[in-house]
Amino acid sequence: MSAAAKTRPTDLAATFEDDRYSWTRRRSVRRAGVTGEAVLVGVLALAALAAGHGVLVGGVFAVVWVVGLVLFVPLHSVVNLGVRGLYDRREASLDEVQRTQRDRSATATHWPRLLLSLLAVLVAVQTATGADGAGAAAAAFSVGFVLWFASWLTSTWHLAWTLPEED
Amino acid sequence: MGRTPKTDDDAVHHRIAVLRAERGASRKDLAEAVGVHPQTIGYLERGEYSPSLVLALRIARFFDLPVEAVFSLDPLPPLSSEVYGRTAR
Repeated sequence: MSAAAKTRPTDLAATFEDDRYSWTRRRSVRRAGVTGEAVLVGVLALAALAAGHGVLVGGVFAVVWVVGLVLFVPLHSVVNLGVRGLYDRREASLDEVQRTQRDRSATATHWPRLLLSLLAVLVAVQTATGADGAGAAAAAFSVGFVLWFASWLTSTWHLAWTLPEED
Repeated sequence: MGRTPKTDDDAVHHRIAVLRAERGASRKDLAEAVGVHPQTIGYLERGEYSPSLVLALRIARFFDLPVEAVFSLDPLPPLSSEVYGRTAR
């Protein structure tokens, strides 16, 4: 018997296997979730860039970010449930197919993750040097943060997009 | 670790679905017995994943058959023709 079979599932793993959330595992739902998250991250990055260059006032920027982050939580829950939380679970709770799927997505997104991380630093520095005042510096930090955050999400996005339909 | 077959030549042929139906075992029964997720049995049955040696041996042990009776590199003939030595006309 494998380690996966011997290990008692944690509450987190049980949640990812809960049939009440089987609708999130449909390919169309997973892809819609990924698209929604990518658009949301793009909007947050653009809002931060606009605020950093004085196009967007601080108050509007703050509202956009708060609304965006509030929307992100349920959206990411759907995407994560759709991939059965493969990146959040202990290695021992995954079987060989799940480990293969997770590793394949991590490998496929290695370069995009690296590029997004570098871009995060470059854009943050560029926006900060062109920034005038504490509000603009905060916006520069936000641009860097959202790009770094996107780099962290790409493996999950790839997995959610490419996983075959379950039956 | 098994892998996803890239071409037809790369595929591992098997009788998992036939044997499972014959024994009246569900995917969940087989999955629990061999220590994998039930979806993994689905991936195997649809040929979307080729099992590792250890998983193939566990599946063969579940059916109490030699591994070559369950898995093959060449397409497997129907069980009925193997048992009775006859082929369909």
